[in-house]
Order: sequence, then C-alpha cells, then structure tokens
Amino acid sequence: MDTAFTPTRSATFGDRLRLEWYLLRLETALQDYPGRRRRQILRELRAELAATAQETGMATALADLGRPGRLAAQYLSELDVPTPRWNDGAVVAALVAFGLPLYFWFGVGIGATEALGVAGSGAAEVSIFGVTLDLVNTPEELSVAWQVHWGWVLGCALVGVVVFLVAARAWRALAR
Amino acid sequence: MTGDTQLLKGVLPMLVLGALRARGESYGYELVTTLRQAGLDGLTTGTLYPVLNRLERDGWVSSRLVASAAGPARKYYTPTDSGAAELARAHGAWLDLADVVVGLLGARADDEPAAR
Repeated sequence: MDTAFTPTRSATFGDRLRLEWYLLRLETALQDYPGRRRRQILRELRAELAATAQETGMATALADLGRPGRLAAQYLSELDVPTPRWNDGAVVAALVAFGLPLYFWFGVGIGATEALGVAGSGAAEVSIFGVTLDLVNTPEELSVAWQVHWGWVLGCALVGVVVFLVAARAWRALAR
Repeated sequence: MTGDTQLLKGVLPMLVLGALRARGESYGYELVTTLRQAGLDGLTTGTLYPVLNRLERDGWVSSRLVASAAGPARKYYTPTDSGAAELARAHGAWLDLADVVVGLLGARADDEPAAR
C-alpha cells in the first residue's frame, strides 16, 4: 500500500456518530443488495467518507452523498438484474398475516366490551375464528383478554406465506 | 450543464473512464471535483460512487489502496485495458450519435438568433 498526503481535518465524536448513523441507514436500505458486495460497498464508503471528510468536513461529505435511500437506489440500479426485494416482501406479508388480524381482534375486543357495558355489566367469553376473548365490564373492572392458540398463529403464518408467494409472482411479472 | 439526469446516467461511465485516462489514477472525490470543473456542476459523490462500483465490477477499472499520511486508506482507480477499449467504443458511439443529432437539429440552439 502506498501513501499519499491528505489535508487533515480531525473527525469529532459527532462526525463519527453522523457517519455511523448514515451507514446504518444505508445498510438498511441496501438489505436486498447481494450480501458480500453490500459489505464491500459499506466498507469502502466508510473509508472514502472518512478520507473525504478530512478535506471537506463530515457534514459536506455526507450531504454530497444524498439521502441513504436514494444512494441505495443508485447502487441497486447499477445491478444488471432487478434484485428480489425479500425484506420488503416479508414486511408486507407479516403485516397482512399478523397485523390485520391483530387489528381485527383488537377492534372486536374493544367493541364487545363496550357492548357489555351498554347491556348492563358483567363478563363474557367469546370465541371468534379460533381466538377466545375474555371480556369484563363491571364498575370494578374493565378488561379484555385474548387467548391465542398455536393453530391461529400457524394459520396466520400460512396466510403470510401465501401472500408472500403471490406478491413475489406479481412483482416478477411487473418487473419484466 | 447537463441537468438531464437520464442523459448524465448514460454518459457518466464514459466520462469517468475519460477522466481517469486523463489523470492516470484518481480517487472518488477527486474524480467528482475533476468532472465538476469540466462542466458537470451538479455531479455529486452519491451519483459517482455507484458508477465507480459498477465499472470496477465490470473490470473496466482496477483499484489499489493508498494510505494517507493521516487518515484511512483511500481507493485509487485506474482504467484497465478493457476499460480503455470500452472508452474508445463508447466515445465512437457518442460521436456517431452526436452527428445524427447535429444533422437533424443543427448546431446549438442557444447559438442561433432568437426567433421573433
């Protein structure tokens, strides 16, 4: 390795923190970039930014790179083939498979407890789509408890897999 | 100059290879400065680094690490033989295209007197 003179501007703790925060956001945005090359990009960028910051200051060096998401998009666009976006797909599938049912049962629980209060007061146990809700609405206690069974979790996971596969097929068709 | 990002994206690899050929060897930020001075005022490191990464992956530039006197090692790039051949090809294609454009549209529009 040769050596070259570089004008120096010492990096502060804040500079290092900004650099790490930027690289963390970039790494997140680059999750779908092939692993070994992604690590190489991040390693090289870290060195290049640290060196450039000595000439321009860290704030300017980072500002010149642009937003991490945009930079990641530039790196992804330089790949020859569209990269499968596994992480995006997994997040969407998880939201559909678990987020929507949770939202549904939360709404049902709150609504049913409210209905108990309107009808007088007391406790009830309701079972809907494999989830048991223990509802209490009395002057002393207001509560909702959900009893989730393994079958329900497996069912949601199955829905997530189906959503993921269907979305992946649609993505491939649209990406052509 | 060259505010058209799609046009810039198309010619930037050629311009980077050309700048590297002119300098012999250079690093990322220095290349940005060189290209800005040549007229690409709006060029950013965020646009150039992915292109350099692509050029290296395609074998059109090679790199070596050069340690600075005070600071981390920096990556210096040099065009390879295949990079030089690609530059010649791209330059020729660009000139051919420019001939077509000039043949159809004439010289620079802003050189002509304003139409009344």
